[in-house]
Amino acid sequence: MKDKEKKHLLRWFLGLMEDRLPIYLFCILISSMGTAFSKIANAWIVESVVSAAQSRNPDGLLIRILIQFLAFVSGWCLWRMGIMHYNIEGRIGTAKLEKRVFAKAMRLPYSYYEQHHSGDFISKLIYDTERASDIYSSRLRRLLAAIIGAVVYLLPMMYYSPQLTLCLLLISVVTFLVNHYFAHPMKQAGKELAQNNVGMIEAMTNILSGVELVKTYAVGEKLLQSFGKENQQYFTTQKKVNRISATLSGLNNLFDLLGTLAFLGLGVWFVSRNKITLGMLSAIYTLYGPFHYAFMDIGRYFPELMNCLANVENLYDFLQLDEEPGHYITQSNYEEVAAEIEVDINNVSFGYTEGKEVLSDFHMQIARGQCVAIVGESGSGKSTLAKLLLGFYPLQKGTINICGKNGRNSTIEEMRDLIAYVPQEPYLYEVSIAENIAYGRGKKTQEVAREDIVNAAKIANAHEFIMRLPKGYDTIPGESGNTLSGGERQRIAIARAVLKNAPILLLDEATSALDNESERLVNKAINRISRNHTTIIIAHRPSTIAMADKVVRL
Amino acid sequence: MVIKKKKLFYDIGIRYVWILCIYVVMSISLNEIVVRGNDYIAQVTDSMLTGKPVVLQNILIQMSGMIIVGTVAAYFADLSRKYYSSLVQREVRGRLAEHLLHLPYSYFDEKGSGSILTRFSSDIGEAGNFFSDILPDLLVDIVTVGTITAYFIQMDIRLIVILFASYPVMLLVADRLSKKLAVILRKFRTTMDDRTQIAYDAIQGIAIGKSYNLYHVMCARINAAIDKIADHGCKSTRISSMGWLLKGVITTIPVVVCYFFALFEVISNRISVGELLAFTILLSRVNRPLGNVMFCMNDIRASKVAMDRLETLYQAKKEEEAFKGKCTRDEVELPDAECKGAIVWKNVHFSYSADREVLKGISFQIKKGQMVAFAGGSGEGKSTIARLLYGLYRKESGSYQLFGKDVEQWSLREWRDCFSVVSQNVFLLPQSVAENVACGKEGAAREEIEEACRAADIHDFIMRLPQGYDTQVGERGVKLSGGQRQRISIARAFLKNAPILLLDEPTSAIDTETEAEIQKAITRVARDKTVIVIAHRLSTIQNADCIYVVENGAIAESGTHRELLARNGIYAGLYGKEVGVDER
Repeated sequence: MKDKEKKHLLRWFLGLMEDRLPIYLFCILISSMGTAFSKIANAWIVESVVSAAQSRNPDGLLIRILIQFLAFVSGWCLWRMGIMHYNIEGRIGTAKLEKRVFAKAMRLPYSYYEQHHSGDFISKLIYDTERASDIYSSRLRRLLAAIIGAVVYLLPMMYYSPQLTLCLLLISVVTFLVNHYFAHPMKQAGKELAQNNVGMIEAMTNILSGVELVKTYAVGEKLLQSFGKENQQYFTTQKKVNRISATLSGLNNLFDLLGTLAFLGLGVWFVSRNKITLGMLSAIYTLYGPFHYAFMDIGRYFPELMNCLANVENLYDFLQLDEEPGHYITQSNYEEVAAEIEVDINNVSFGYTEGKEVLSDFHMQIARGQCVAIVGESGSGKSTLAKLLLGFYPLQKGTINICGKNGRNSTIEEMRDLIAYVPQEPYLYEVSIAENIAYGRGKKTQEVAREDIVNAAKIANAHEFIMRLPKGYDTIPGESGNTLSGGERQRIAIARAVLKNAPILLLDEATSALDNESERLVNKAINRISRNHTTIIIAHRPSTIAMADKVVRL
Repeated sequence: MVIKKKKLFYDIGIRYVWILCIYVVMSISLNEIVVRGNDYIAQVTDSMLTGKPVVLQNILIQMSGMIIVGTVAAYFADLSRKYYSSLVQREVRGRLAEHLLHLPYSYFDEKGSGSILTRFSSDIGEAGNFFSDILPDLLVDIVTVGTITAYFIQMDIRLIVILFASYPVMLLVADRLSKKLAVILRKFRTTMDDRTQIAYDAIQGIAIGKSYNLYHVMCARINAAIDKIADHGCKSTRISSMGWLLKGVITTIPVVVCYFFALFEVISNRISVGELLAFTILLSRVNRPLGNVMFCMNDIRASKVAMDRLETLYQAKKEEEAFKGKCTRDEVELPDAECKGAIVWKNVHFSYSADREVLKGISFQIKKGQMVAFAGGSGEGKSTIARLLYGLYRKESGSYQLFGKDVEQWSLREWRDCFSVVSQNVFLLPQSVAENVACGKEGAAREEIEEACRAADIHDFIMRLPQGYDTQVGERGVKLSGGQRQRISIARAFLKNAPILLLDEPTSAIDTETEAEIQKAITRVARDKTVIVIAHRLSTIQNADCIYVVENGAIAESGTHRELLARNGIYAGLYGKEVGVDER
């Protein structure tokens, strides 16, 4: 049962390579055969030399060895070419995997990001994919090469002496079985390592995003301690892995020497019975070396593969997570609303935790062109309402209708297209200001006319200060927008919303971080836009509330 | 030459070098057994050929001893090299994390989190490889080559000459290739930083990403980086493959020549067939390590790229190196500080980047116990003043005296301990509410925490939470509203109870009623403190002892609320607009 699952996991993982999988596997085959071939050629050379030494007759030896050497070189080339191409295929596969993981991360429901630390995902993207792609780049090849190699060596060995070979094979099978025993603990340990890495990345992310706090409060020690704890944890697990692999190594060495001994004993016995010649024995010996290694490699790389397969399992679980649905399926009855009602919130209830409703049986209707202010104490559910409008959570009860679109007839994306949102804390991406604004249309800068961007910035009263920046619209706001003031960032976020030009403008305390002057200008802008847009403002400032046609208290 | 701090990896590598020594000893023992075993095989084969009877029992006894020693040696050899690497990794991570905490704030503006996170995950792994595989392998290869060479020398010194003849060529080729490889790998790792950074960026901005349907844009952004990584990866694969190809051919030629030579020796009756057999076996054993020693440059340069990146992080100057003062609060809070004032700035200049000066000569004086406000439009430099005040950035010129002493004389820690800061960007740790407030004071009792929360008007709210003070706030406090987070950070500042309370737009996300409550609390807490408020809401600072109006990086006006109104300048203009807006 368990083995079945594992196989399924590996097959799934290889399946991610899609149409490149055959090329990839072919390259592995080629390279494995190449390496075996070159080693066989090597054995031929040795055999020729030893036989010549025994017979003391070097006639024709030079040509024979030359041919054998060429065979060796071509085998070697085949090996390396195969390795190179399969490596390249492996890289492409890794890239595909990373893209998949990232795309998945973008499609998860909003609640996932609230419940999970960003370090969790970052660790998946950089740690789990890196370790999992080790399978593409080496683990699988090593295992397959070992298997193929073992078979390839076995054949000429059989040719030289079937009896001796069978005896040797028996010993090798025993070594494999012992090694196989370590596969499961290795996988377990791999899983633990991945988990510890998540903890470490999370602790590091906390340090990085809390730099300002570290500087102003004595939390540095505490953060360092929690990182140190994770670090130590990781180390402990590493030690565990080390012990397992050292045991494997010791055992394999035991088998190596045992194998040599067995070979010697059997060889002496066979030679003394005159079943094979000494030349043959030495040829078998050169073959037996790599054969035995190949067999031990199977044992050694199988647990290693399992170790990485633990990361694959993590990724598999991650990729199987429920995505944000295209629609929120609701049982609610959608009532017809009048055409002039653009936003209809009907009987909506919602709570983050069961039994604690933030909104209960909430009703609201907003007519086209209306400007509504939503007020209430902090924590009364203002921002929650905004998030529900944006479809960040499924409604627990009730319906939301925006411009005639609702959960029944439209996708979440379509609903979101109707709303231009300015959040409480404006997030600016680490791309140029122009691109940040262009994202309002869900496009890159190149796809949006510069004019439109500038116009939007002008409406949001951002143009002037942007032009004062040394690089103007091409300025990239520093991480967390540090080189811009709060007000400046807010105005860029508003410009983004302006460019989107959606029927509904949703501002979540958008002017809170602005000074009077810019607030006045922004309010003016909002006034301007709200003339032909329906506007919802979550506000606590009298000045903002004053602009509204209607005030709703939560 | 700049005197460099001790190299991180060198330092740590040396520290645990004894483990590596164990490894080398174990490996040598292992090799010794291999050599002896083969010697033994040669003897047995020889005697067998000359028709002497072979007693298997004797062989068994001799070999079993070797097998036991070999197994133990192999176990400890493998364990020690991996243990060595794990120890080095742990130490490197620990030291780097500690170092990070001491880097100047500006460092984090320039280097994104992505690059640091990649270093802590991927580069450390790569460096770990160096310590667990490349370095020990190299040492053992050298030892192997050494021992087997010694054995060869006993046989015939000419063999060595033949074996080593082609190696200078090999060295040259390996050197060329590895240099090329390092260049590409450096690019490879830099693009990995970009990838992590983009992913981090996209995750942090997920609310915007979702509401603007940026799924495709974000994917395109990261895909470009991922493709670039794959591209560099493929290039490096091509180069290293070339290395392998050459290595295989170059190392085999001398071996074949050696065979011929040995054959010639046998035919001339100078060595026995048994010796030849042992020789071929040994040759096959020495061939690989010899090639590895030559071509290890590829691997070393590859991991050096990763190690260099970590080293750079470690070599980045700590902010303490710029602020070398030792002065503590006990030394300066003397009576004379009262008359000198708590904070005195004279002609302070500052810019984030060379082409945009933000502060253009700011001077002011704040007396102990005063409440002072900085007002003005956004982007005029108010927040920058705040950041300079508590030493997040360094002024470029001018003087800054804190309690009568130049800040250069202060110990950085003590300097910052003078300030309770409520910053514009509220950051909460993903821990419990209580722990977040407790940041203000080490080992704060629950009563103190609750008291601070009451003062910040957040206690009642916290008590309503399902787990009260033990509620986890989540990363960046996403589970709380903006106003709640701000009030927790205010409670934190109250608890710290430093002589100067610095509030950078402290109530921006709070509704008017709560704001009034908090204003009252601030007044209460601030009774015996110096208070500095950075404000864009003039209504909150009317009671200030002095208001400085900042415009375009300079102080344009100063005075009390009444004085400034009477002057009818910028402040009056701003105030007029605010009153106008609010009363409309």
